[in-house]
Amino acid sequence: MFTTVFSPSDLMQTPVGRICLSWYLRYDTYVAFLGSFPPGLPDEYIDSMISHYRKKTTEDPQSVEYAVADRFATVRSISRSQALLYARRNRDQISLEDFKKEHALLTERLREYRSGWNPMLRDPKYLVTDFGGKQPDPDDVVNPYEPGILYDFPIFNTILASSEWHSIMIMHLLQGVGYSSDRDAIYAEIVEHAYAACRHYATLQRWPHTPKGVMIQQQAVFQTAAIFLPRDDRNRMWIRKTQAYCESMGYVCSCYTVVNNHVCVC
Amino acid sequence: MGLLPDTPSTAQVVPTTSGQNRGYSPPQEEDSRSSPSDSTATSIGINVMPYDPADFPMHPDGKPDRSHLPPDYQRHLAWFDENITSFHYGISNDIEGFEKIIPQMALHNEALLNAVVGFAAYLSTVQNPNGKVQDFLGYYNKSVSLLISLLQNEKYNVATLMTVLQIAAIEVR
Repeated sequence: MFTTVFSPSDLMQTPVGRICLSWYLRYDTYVAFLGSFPPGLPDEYIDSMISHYRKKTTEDPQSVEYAVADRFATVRSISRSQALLYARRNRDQISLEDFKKEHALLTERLREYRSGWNPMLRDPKYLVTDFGGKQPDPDDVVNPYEPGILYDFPIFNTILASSEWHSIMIMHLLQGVGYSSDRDAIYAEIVEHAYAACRHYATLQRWPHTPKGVMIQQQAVFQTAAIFLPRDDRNRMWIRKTQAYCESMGYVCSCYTVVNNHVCVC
Repeated sequence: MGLLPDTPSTAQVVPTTSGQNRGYSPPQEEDSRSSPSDSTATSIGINVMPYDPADFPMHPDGKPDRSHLPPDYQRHLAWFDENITSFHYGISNDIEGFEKIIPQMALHNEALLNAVVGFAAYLSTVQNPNGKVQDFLGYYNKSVSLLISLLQNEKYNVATLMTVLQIAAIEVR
């Protein structure tokens, strides 16, 4: 239906087209990951989106909005490549050696994406450093008041992109851990990303200016990260309290999650 | 609150007038990587109308007249205006005015209207300690019924696509 309502050439010409693409992409990639098949939307649509925002950022290099949109387009492109690689692996359409090579290339792309963000989107003048003197609760496992990740508007979006990146890294590293010769190092890195994602969630939860809907959007990131926190009593209790908060907003937390063919119990 | 009465909404559905097919048929791939969704609409005999902005005129200040809608629809749409953002849809980078355009588009399509109202009713219900699930299920059920009817009998257009996505916004949480 999507490819008949919109062509790649006219998709990005109207707000409705751009909205539908952003909206549809969320499900296209999600379903591809879950179903282990390639994303349904042809690459021409993603290429159209990327070239549209690249052109806009070139025409208006001071525009924060277009820089954010360009960043979004880049990570969506990487996510599609991930979905395709995992689908090929799960269908035995790629050799183990080629999978390891392409997985490593994608890891590098993800790291470059993170380090290559437009400096405008990390402008320290917008960094939130004043949390009113608040301190973490005794049972917090992360410090939601530690400066460094939360930016005020107009670049508030950066914390969301950062949170998403940690979540993507967790899933990506997990896909390759079974083929690695140094599983302990990879699991250690996954745990680092998990703590970072949880810190992002807790910071957003405690900041009084977090826009409506953000915490609902961030629930998936938290659920992914929570699986990989070390299993001690303190972490368990913090996870359960945070899940109760999620449920109070209407999110149903399953007591177990199947990740990479392993059942993980929260 | 029970299901909504089975009468059509008073919202006027603007028929699409565009007859030009500007749809896109992706090149067919021979390998087995094709997903089930690769089949084009024409292969199963369904007529899909390309998006034409003229079919969905937007109110210049984003505040169209909703007085012709039932009071409960107006109430939920007003709640939508006040409380729902693009973040509720999982979209972090909204530079298009996502949450303004969706309810305006909904006024042109009854299935989308019920899906949007259902979404607003759902979110307001879960935030209400005394909320009842049937408060939003009525709109959701009506939207799904109308969508099924559209899929079986009529041409698809962008509003059909958006109805599917809007219903998915409730389903995939």
